[in-house]
Amino acid sequence: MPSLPLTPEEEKKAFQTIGIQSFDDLIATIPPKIRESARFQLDFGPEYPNLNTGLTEHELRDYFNKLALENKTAPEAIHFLGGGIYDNIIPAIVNQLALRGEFLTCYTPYQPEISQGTLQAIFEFQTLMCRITEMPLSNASMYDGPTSTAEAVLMAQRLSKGSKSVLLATNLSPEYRTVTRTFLSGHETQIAEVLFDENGLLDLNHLSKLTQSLDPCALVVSYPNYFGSFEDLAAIKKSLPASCLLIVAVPDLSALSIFEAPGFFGADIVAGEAQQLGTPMLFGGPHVGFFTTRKEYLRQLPGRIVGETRDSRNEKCYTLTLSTREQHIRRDKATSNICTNQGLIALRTTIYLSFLGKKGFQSLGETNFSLFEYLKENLLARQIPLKFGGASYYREAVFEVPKLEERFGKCLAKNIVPGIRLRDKFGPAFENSLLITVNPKHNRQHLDLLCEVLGS
Amino acid sequence: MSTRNKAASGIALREDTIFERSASGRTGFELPQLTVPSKKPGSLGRKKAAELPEVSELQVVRHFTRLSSWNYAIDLGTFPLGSCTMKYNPRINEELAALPGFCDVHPELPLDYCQGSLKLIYLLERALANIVGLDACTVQPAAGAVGEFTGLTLIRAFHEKHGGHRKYVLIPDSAHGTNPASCILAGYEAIPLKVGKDGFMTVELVEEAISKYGRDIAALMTTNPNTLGVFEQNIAQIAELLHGIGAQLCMDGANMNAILGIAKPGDMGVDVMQYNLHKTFSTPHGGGGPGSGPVACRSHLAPFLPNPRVVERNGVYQIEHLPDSIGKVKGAFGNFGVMVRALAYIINHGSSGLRRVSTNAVINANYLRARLQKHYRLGTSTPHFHECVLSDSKQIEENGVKTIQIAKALMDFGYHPPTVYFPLTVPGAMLIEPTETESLQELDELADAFIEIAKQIENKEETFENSPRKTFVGKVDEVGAARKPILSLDDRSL
Repeated sequence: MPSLPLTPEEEKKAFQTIGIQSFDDLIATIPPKIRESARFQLDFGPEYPNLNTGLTEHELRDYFNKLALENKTAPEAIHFLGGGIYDNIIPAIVNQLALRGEFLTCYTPYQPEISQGTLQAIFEFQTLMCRITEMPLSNASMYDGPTSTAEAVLMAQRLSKGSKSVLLATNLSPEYRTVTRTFLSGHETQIAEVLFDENGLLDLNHLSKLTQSLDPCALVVSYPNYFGSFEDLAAIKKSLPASCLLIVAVPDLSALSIFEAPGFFGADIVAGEAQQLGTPMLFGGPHVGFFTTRKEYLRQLPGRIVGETRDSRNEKCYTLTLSTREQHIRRDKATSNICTNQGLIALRTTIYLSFLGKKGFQSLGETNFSLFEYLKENLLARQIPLKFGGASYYREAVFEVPKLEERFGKCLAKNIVPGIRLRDKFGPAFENSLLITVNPKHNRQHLDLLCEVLGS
Repeated sequence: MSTRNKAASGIALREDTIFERSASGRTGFELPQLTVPSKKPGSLGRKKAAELPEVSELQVVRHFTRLSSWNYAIDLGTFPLGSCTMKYNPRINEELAALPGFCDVHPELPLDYCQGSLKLIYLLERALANIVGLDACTVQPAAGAVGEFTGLTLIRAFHEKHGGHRKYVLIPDSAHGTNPASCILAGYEAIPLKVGKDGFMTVELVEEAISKYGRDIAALMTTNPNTLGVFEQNIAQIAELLHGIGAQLCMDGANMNAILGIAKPGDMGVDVMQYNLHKTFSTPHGGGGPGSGPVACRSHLAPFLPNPRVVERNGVYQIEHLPDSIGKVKGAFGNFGVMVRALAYIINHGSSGLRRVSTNAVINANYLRARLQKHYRLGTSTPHFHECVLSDSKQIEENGVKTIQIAKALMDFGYHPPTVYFPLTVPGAMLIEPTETESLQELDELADAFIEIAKQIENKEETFENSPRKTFVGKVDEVGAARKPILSLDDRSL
């Protein structure tokens, strides 16, 4: 076993130094009954029904290559999936730099003198997230968009001191809503959902009814929402009572490259997912959440934060700071139980955004937007209308596809996954609704092909 | 004895933030040529572009390579960080987790498009449950802390369904900081339990708590081996006591690296536990994540596991939604990339190899303990498993030198310090976990450094007040950072 260097000779030497006869002397404190039944069997199907000796590296590679081939992916299949997780073009340097052993195999930077690389990269990540969302304060990352949103609601609750309810927009991703509900399940918090109107946008009348009857600590909306359209954040903010924070969970951070940011409209917390910026989809993770907010909420921020300071030689340097909010210091009084988070993925995001830069980030947004506009016009021309007409879109939208089941099957027969069917997520009114998403890997041929198969 | 110090000097290059290399109009990255007409958003369009750096590819490469050179890492040297299991993780894992067939899978793909990924989850959940002797497993939680929360929420759902909600979770004072915080998040009150002087829980202690709180106790949450590196020898009896009042035994599996094939939590009476795949099952720590915190449980808790569940029917992998599920604790299926590494690690080792991981981890920790105990006082005389704990009490009494100074001194010898001031039950604790991937030669060199430091203190040559001296930056002013927080580049001018 190459990862286990202890030789039999060395083992003997170690036993002598320790002063024992055999390994069993070291585990004598385990009750014999527990010790005797400790062996386990590993069953990996007919191939390896009882894997006692492991596979060598080459055999392992073979096994996993086969397993990966049991998935159907590009170029064999093309897809138009989104809804919070997005395919994206990952520059070679992102993988190569993030795989450097000094980044990959270092620890959480609790010892700043020997962790400056990670610390400075996080400081740059915080700066990027602040600038993109137009908020003044960012933490060092969260697990992903859904858990970041749940943490935002928990923070709003701590700030409100007494409010026992929170509002979620129904047009927020179903997954974000479920995760938020689960994280709040231990608290006596009423979670109410704000309906959407005939344009798929937050119903402001329903919102004002709920804010009057419930005194909620926060409203969570997304921008663009799960149907792909942009909410009027300024109008929403205006209609909220001062005690109710506006939390904007952004399912698509890349939209902020060309659309006004939530901070511009007075959001109080912006929380969401940054996977679409340089991290593969990987069946849902690891991804990376971000969390930005107003300066005055610093003491209630969950997760780690990096700050700039000086060293004993008066040089600029970085350190984890304000950790008295955190679980390892405050224990049961902590702002969150989060410990290990997404350091390496936040690094990927930082490398990716640095490489794209100001212009590249804009052209990423414009590419998505232009591809979507093209697709939309073509689908409309083929009598596939938008589910919600009166809204503006970035890169995805819900289309009403006549005879959806049949046409979906036709697409699959050509290895095209045309989008996410919404019936199971939003009920019978969405019987024929399909959320279709473009990504920068698409070109005109892909879009034409989709229109052709879906429209016939 | 003189130590040949590993820390030499070399060239490390200074580097400002990437934003300070920016030049207007420069870009490093090219998207594919647009094949459709270019369009821009109307009234909602962003008027002021986000100020991202404008740099070339080489500038990005140099920037992050320079930054990386300021980090200490396992690839550079021994990382004796107790409770964190900073072992070497085979590089093949990285190759496998980066396979396009895994990376390019969107979680909303139709099931026959993602059979490979579903199978991987199914196999991993089954293997993890087998290893610990429990009935079911979910790999959805994103990290250990989410796993703790998930385990406690399963218990909450179980009690709410059978007999009603209970208020308290008992937590030994040697617990990880995340344990009490996870209790609060799950809606419980954490009741601290003072552990006995030998460093483990006694039956009397738990009996006392039970007589005081009775059936309001939902669970006891313990780490085993505990954070002192000591096996909780009374655990099976404690489990019986808890089960007698309908309470559950919840185990933090952060220290599983000590007992693979040596003791099964299922045999100890544990009802639910979480793992840290990034510790025991081999995902590099990455400067603080990503991790993965699967949860295994007995069958009575299984109906409440997070949705969706991956099941197998005649060789086809499907998903199911449990009606009594607690919901979801992470987007999609969890940190799949970490699961690839874990399954690769398990298959690479096989059952006998995994047991050897733990036996070697225990031997290594005890070897270090044997070499160091003449020079530092032990935090407990009870036998250690995969980590050992030292105290600074000798150094403080004799020369006024504290753990923090010893920790910073180790950096000048070329090592990452051990976990310091944890567990809280040992004054000035240094928690040392060498892991199984270090050779005896490396352990000897580390021990030599520890001993050299102790000798310099004893001979009054050094107090290490101003350490570290050789690191890329000097002692960092952490107090100043909190006093006037500069948390983004745009705070500098404020």
